[in-house]
Amino acid sequence: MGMTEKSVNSVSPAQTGAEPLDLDLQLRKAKSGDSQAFGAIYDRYAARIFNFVSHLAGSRQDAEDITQEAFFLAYRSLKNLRDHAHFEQWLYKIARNEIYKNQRKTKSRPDSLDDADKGILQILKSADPAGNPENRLLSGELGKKIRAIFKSLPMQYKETLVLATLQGLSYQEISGILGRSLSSVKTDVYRARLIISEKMRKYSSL
Amino acid sequence: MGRRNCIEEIALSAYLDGELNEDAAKGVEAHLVTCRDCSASYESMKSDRNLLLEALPDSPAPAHMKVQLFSRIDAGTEARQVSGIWAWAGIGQLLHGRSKPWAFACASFAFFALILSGFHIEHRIEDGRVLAQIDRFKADWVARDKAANPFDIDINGAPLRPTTAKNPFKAYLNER
Repeated sequence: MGMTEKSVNSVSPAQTGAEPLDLDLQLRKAKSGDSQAFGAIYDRYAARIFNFVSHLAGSRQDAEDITQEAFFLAYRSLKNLRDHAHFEQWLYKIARNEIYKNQRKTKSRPDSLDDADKGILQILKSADPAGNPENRLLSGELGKKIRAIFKSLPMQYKETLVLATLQGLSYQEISGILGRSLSSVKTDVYRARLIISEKMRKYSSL
Repeated sequence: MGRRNCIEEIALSAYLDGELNEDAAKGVEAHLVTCRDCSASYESMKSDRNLLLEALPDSPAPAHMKVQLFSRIDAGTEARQVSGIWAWAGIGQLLHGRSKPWAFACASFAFFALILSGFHIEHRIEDGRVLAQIDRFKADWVARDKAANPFDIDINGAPLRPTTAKNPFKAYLNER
């Protein structure tokens, strides 16, 4: 079976060894108004934050706007950041707040599983049922189904799953970002997986 | 789960994320080797996770996002910009939390000085109006006085011309 597996689409900058000191220096410079230093920080975290946001936001345009706003707010509030070691968590929190703010504005949160299921069914019925799973994944049919199922998850499960599975953060880090207990994070990740698994089986016959 | 001695699925999920401690992870590994049901559950969970990773791949942040962000940072502005005299007075900077205390103090002083000088000017104008009105009343009164006052007394009660007449009632009053 091998060792336990940590699934990561991209490695967190905080997980790479020699960088924390460098980040500390860049943060000090950025705090004193050095926008070039903030540029280096942006380069380091932009892709992660953008991907986190784009998995949870309604559209790509929303994701770009939210990410940009999150970094702008982070730059403006840098002086309030006391512990540089928690910069990444702090940045995620800002981005998450912006996602929720955007959702309140657009009121397009598909939190009801029943409503979302109708949407999934439409997508799934339009997909080509023929062909083996690999071909369907390659042609995007299966990917479309999975994305539809993922989108149908309640926000609480979706954000936990994105952080744990797609972003590869530890439950401890996720707990800090979301402000929930470790056991709650563990339960949410499991429930999200359970829902996805059940829906995959439910719709596999279509 | 319900199977005796089997691992709960929530623990398998945590194992998949590398969240179990070393001892617990070793226990799960040993169990998965011997239990077909748990092994199947774990493999299914792993397969779903891999499908999710493939269906939701990471993408690089768009380059124009950085350009837009830094043009905003360099301009020191936000979507809701403060312009004109308010910007000059440092109100925008105050709202955005970047106020320079001396600039704001100067702006506040100038603002209040402007208001006070406004009051003062208005007072002076009002005073002038009242004095002119009084002068007009006085002039009217004197003109009417001259025409109709039999005692030749001005508005202040002073005689318009000196009189030498004695008070005829003075002796009577002294006797009483």
